[in-house]
Amino acid sequence: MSALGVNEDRAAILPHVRIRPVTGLLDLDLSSLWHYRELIYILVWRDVTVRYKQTLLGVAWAMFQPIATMLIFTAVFSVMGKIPSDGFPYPVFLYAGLLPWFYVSQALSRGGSSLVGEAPLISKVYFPRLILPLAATIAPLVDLVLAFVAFLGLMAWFDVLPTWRILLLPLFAGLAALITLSGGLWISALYVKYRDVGHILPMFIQLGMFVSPILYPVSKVPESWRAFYALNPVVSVVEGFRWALIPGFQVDFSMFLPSLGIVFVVLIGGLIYFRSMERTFADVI
Amino acid sequence: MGTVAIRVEGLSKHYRLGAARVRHNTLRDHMMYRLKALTRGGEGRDDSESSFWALKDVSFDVQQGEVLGIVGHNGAGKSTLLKILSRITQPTRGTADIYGRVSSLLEVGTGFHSELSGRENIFLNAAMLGMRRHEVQKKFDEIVQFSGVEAFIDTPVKRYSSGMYVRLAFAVAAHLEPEILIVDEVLAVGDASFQQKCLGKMEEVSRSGRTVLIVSHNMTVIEGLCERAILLEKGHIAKIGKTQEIVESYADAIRSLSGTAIGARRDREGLGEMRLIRIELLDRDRHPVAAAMTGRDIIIRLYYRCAEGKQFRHCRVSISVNGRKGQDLFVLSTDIVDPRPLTLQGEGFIDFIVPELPLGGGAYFFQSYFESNGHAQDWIKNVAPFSVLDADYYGTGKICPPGWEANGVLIRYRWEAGMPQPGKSFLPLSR
Repeated sequence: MSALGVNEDRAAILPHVRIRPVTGLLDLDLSSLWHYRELIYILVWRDVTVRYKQTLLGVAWAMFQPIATMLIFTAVFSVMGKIPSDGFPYPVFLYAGLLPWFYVSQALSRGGSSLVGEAPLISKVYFPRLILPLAATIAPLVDLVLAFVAFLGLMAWFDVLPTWRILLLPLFAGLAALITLSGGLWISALYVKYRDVGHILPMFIQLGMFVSPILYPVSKVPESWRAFYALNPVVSVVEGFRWALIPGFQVDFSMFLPSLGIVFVVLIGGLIYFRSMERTFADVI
Repeated sequence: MGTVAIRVEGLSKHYRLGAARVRHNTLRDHMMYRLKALTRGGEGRDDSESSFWALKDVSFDVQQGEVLGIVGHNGAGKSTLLKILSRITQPTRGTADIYGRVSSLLEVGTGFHSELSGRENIFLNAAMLGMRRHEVQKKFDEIVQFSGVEAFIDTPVKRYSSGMYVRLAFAVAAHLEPEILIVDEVLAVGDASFQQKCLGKMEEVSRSGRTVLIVSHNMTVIEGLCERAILLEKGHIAKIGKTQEIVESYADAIRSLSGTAIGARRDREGLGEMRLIRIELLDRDRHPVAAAMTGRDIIIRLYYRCAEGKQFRHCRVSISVNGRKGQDLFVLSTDIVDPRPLTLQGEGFIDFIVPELPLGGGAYFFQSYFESNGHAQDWIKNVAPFSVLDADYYGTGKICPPGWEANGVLIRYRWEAGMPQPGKSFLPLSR
């Protein structure tokens, strides 16, 4: 049966997909992300482009927001509130903390609503759903870079010269991205099922600023609270940013361990939860 | 026998109403549901009351290069089937083996962003549909040319007319080159000439040896493109075979469906605050009749009921007539003949008065539509049968030629004969 042989050859060349009910937990299928890498890129590009379309100042907004916040917070918390900053100029100290915080809060809120916000896409076209929170986590990195450029200006103003440590900044930015991705996975998947998330998330993010050392130094946190305090992974990111950006800034790196462990657990758990929920997204959303 | 492109075996999709219909969109709802389930003795019992099979034991093969049509009523499982084959949702049971790259078009312009320009949206939409960037770059000019929006390619699509938007979106889709194309009713959009262009493109696609699965309510499209079709009914395959037979069966099924009382119809779309309750046919003396007659005056009366205490402004009520293949023949709409704003409340009826009904004898169908303030209120396809008895429309004792029964409209015309002048001929003209 030569005809059959030919058919089998042809079938072997064509990509074969078997659609069947999947129920397993540990089917992460991360290779499909690589296959769809162009879509990740284009979604990130879209998020960035759309954000500054039809605005007068365009990307300057990414710098304006942290600068304005820095000025007002400095006035309120440093000039009026006399909050210390471990002896560094408060504007520099504050801005070095606002940098990662703006990224984390933005990436978390965009990542968290990435699925519900793209409901029409999810019900009309197939792609690994993981791409949505992933792209939403990557896109605000562009704003982070722009806000960082503004920070360089601030450092020049206060005559603060960066050291070699600044080269390690991408490492801490990467940690911030991992934290928001792991949070984004959980939040976005839960949001599909429970719309309560839409109410909780903004409040959660707002409070997050106060349980992270943005406005005040870690040294102001009572010793007995520190172990508990360090469970918040954002603490590590903020401390890491300050260590990398402000010469002479002291960091207790032992605080990093518990939070790294938590990020790891939340990330793996988030991946598993997301993948198991993914199958019903189109039905529930 | 060719090679199999898609093999579907025992495919089933089960929806729990708890999961899909009655959504627990808040934590509290979910907890209450769990609590109730507990007190009633487990969720299992609750399930049987509120679950259904959107698709049940569906099996079929599609050969490579075949164009297969899928027809059926709203809720027959067509969309669910396409969604499973497109991997958007997963089946509860059964398997589907797919050999080749799949592109599915369940919607025109998936992922279009209104703030982005036409150019940017081409890349965005193409990426969503699985096209590689270099492929898009290669075909970019062709896509733009096909869409006919060259002049506006750098304008944000929010400034496009809806026609331009659809043309651009379809142009992207038409240039996909998958081995398997899955299409859902996308041809229901755009103006007639563009639809023609799309159909032409679809034929080209099928001739090029690619496999196409197409869902449509328009039997003319299905007949024109497909050799074989599937009729789905309540999640089962009711019939599979030659398109001609399937189309006939579908028409029969419509006839039986439109016989059910309008109040009991569940396959309606829209907000539902204003609903059609009954359709009545009246003759010119306003006496109810069972059927209309060719060439006689007929009044189509739509009884409606509005949500209590509410007033609906800027209403539009329309009724259209479909032929036996589901094709649209004409539409009667309140706003077209009388642009004054229409406000409706409580109960009432709208009479559409049609002088000298231009339809030959046969079985037609009505499609009804209510709208207020631009929002669809109640839309029912195949809402009721519309029988027309043959009568002498042209005053010649002749009825419409065979094959045209319930398959078109009658128009008034006449003809004249002529001859060339003596000693001359028309022949040179025809060269």
